[in-house]
Amino acid sequence: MERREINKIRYFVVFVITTLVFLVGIWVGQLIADFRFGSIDETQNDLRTQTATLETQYLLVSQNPCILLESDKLATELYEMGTKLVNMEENYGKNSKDVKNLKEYYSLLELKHWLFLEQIKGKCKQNNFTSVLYFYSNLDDCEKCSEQGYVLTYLREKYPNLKVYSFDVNIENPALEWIKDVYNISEVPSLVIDNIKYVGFMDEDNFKEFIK
Amino acid sequence: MIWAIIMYVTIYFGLYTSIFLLLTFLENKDNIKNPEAKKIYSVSVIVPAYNEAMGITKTIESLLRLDYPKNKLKIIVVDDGSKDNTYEIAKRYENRGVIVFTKKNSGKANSLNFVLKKIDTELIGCLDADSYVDSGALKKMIGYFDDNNVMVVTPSIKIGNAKNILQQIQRIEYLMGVYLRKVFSFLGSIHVTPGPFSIYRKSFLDKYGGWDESTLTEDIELALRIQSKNFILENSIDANVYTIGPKTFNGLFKQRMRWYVGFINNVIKYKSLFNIKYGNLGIFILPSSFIFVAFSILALFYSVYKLGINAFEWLINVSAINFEFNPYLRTLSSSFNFYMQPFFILTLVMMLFGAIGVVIAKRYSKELGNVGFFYVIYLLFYWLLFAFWWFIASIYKLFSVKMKWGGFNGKA
Repeated sequence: MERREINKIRYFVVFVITTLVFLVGIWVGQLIADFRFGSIDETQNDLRTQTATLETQYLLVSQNPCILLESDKLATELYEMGTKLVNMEENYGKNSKDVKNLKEYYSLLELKHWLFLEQIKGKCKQNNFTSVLYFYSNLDDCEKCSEQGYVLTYLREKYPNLKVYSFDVNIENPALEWIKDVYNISEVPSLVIDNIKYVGFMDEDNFKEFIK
Repeated sequence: MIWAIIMYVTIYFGLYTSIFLLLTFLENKDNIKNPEAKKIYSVSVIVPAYNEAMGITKTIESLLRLDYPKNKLKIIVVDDGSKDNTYEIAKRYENRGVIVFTKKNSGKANSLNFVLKKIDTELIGCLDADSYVDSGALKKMIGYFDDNNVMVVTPSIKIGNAKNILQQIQRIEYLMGVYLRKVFSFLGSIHVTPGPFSIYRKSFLDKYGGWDESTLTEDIELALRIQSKNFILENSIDANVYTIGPKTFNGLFKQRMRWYVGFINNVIKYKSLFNIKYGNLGIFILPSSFIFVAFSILALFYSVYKLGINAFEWLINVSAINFEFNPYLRTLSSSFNFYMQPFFILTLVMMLFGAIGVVIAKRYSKELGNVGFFYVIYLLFYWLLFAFWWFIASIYKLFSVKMKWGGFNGKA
């Protein structure tokens, strides 16, 4: 009977069309993602330029470090860069080599910013800030880290005088190893608030007493 | 990662099916016109009614208005032991040629068989008392019977008088069904002949038995039986029949449990149809309907799981900041997860193919009224309902298998 015939050509043509539509769909989706975040290359370049700019600015700042406290332009830029990295991490995955490299670089910038602040402590007129070093891990070994991250993002938005620097403990870099050794960081999450180490999660109520 | 793969396989499969159906339609769209009948067949239309005093008038009136030679058309009402005055109402139509029977309550299939033994027309159909028919419908359908292998012709079923959102969603669902049934007819793959106004060749019922009284869904059983005997099932896309969709979630749920459990039972009964010798039906249409059900249940579980986890994390997070969101709103825009971006694009493409199907159905079946807005509502909610119904129906099914001796009475 005619109706029992299987039109093999149709099954094949549909397979070809579907595969094409599927691949084009994925490609367009990726284009849109790139458009939103910039492609990984572009973002890398952006971040490199931004880093170089920041470095130069730090050199300028070293002439007159108190600027760091008077204008928070540098801190804002650093913060924006961090947000961009978080987006990239979500988009390209935690294990992307490019993302890891950028994170390492970013951590060093954070460290530099923090060291500057430590240097000028007590030397400038305006002195009422709290610095927080936040050590986390984004692997499955830290249950409380995403929550701690959430709380710190919130606190940073709420209290402009809170300077938060976050470090992924899984990044292998001698400078980061050094700062971990200085504070003897062996567990995550760990917080160093104005040079004193606290191990474990802190919610807003625990935190409040440290904020100047 | 495993979930991402499942999602992409689902979407690929969905795309394949929608493109396959659309291509089939486009290749065959010149054959969509109903064939002109060479002769006028004698037809009986049975209205089985149990407590249908509310709707039966409209049903009978619509049959009396059918554009068809009166001497070739018998309208028969079977009152299935109603407790209300269905019988009395039907009786009033006797002087206009309607034949009315009454008997003890015995179910729909039994009522139909009861009449089957008493009549001698070439064709036979039934129209539930919650449905009504367009006056031109019957004439459009009978031409297909000139082919001796055609054993049933199905109409286009639509939701009449949709009022609330639930009924509007069903309206779109039925329009999608109108499109699917036509394409299935091109593929020799109609596997459901809907209860309202499917017209059968009586000789088939005489030879292979009437309506199956042991099943929840005698219409699905009959369609699969006709397929299993290698006969043809046709569809007339502009023969419009209207039915009232359940108004409430609960009513709709009960209806779907009956349909879906009935569908599963009958497909198990006719599992031999899953065979290349039944063509597209055996290797693609029947298997894919089950694959779809499986995928949509998976998607339902995934969404519920994901939503649950997110809500839980969110609760923990906001409790740590004493539920004060204000500073957070500023950072919200960057916190969406775009990981699945291409997935959404592909979903949109598939929805577009669905929309084309609905537009085709609307155009060829001459449906009036706007569908755009409700199509969006349908897209957002229907798959959830669909997956939920199928999930519960599968549980019912598994449960009833284990409890067989306990006397599972699925009559909803």
